[in-house]
Amino acid sequence: MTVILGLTLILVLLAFLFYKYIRKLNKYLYLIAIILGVISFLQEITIINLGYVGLSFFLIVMFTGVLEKSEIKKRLMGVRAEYAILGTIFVIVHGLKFVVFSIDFYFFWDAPINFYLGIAAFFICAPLFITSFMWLRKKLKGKTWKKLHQLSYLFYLLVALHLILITNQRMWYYIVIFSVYFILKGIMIVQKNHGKTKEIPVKTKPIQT
Amino acid sequence: MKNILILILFIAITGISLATEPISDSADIISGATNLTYNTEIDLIAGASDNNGSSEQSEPSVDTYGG
Repeated sequence: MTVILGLTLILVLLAFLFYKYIRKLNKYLYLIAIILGVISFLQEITIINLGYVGLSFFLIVMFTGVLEKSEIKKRLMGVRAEYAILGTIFVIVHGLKFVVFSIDFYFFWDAPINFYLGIAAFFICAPLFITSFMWLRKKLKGKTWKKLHQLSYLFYLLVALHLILITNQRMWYYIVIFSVYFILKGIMIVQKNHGKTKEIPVKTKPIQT
Repeated sequence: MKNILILILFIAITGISLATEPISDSADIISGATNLTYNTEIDLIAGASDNNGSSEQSEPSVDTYGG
């Protein structure tokens, strides 16, 4: 967990200090991520193909959504799409590596449940990944894009289950992190809906005399 | 309030993980070597090691005998 949290801290600091550059140079960063991903895919064990780097990016993307209004939220929101795309590039490498590995070792159809949850998450993240690019996002209607990106909660849930069901030494860390996230998100949704119902004016018929 | 809660959560988890996971294991995994802290499914399935560290008791090496 030290590696994942260390990476998360570094990425938060980078976003906080260089958010303007990250946005400006995003295409170059995607290219670097793809090159690193390809190299990592060809290696036996790296923190990229083990999924740690992708998870670090996604932890930031997730928790940015539940932060309160502040300078840190503002800056993290500024690079949220970039971080989500970079995270997905690294997650794709992790997914492909393990799929190839499962085929090599003949356990694709006989794998533990967390493996299939990972594959399901991989497929759900595909449309979210594609529509995160600004050129495609502009082609979609705001409401359609928002509705589609509500799938990200399902993606986070599948990722959480994928990680927890590995039942390794980090299981409790994952349980705590994802529980806190979903509780905070739930509170946020309830507060939002409560606010909306308050805003709607109650139409009353005038009393006829 | 929420931001402070998230900050405390991450500080606590980082503190616990630093206290429980040997820092050398974290360095090892960055350089591409799996270990007990970061054991992977690849190792488990390939039979390189299990959750107890090793699937079989290894033979004592020459070094063990002081050779």
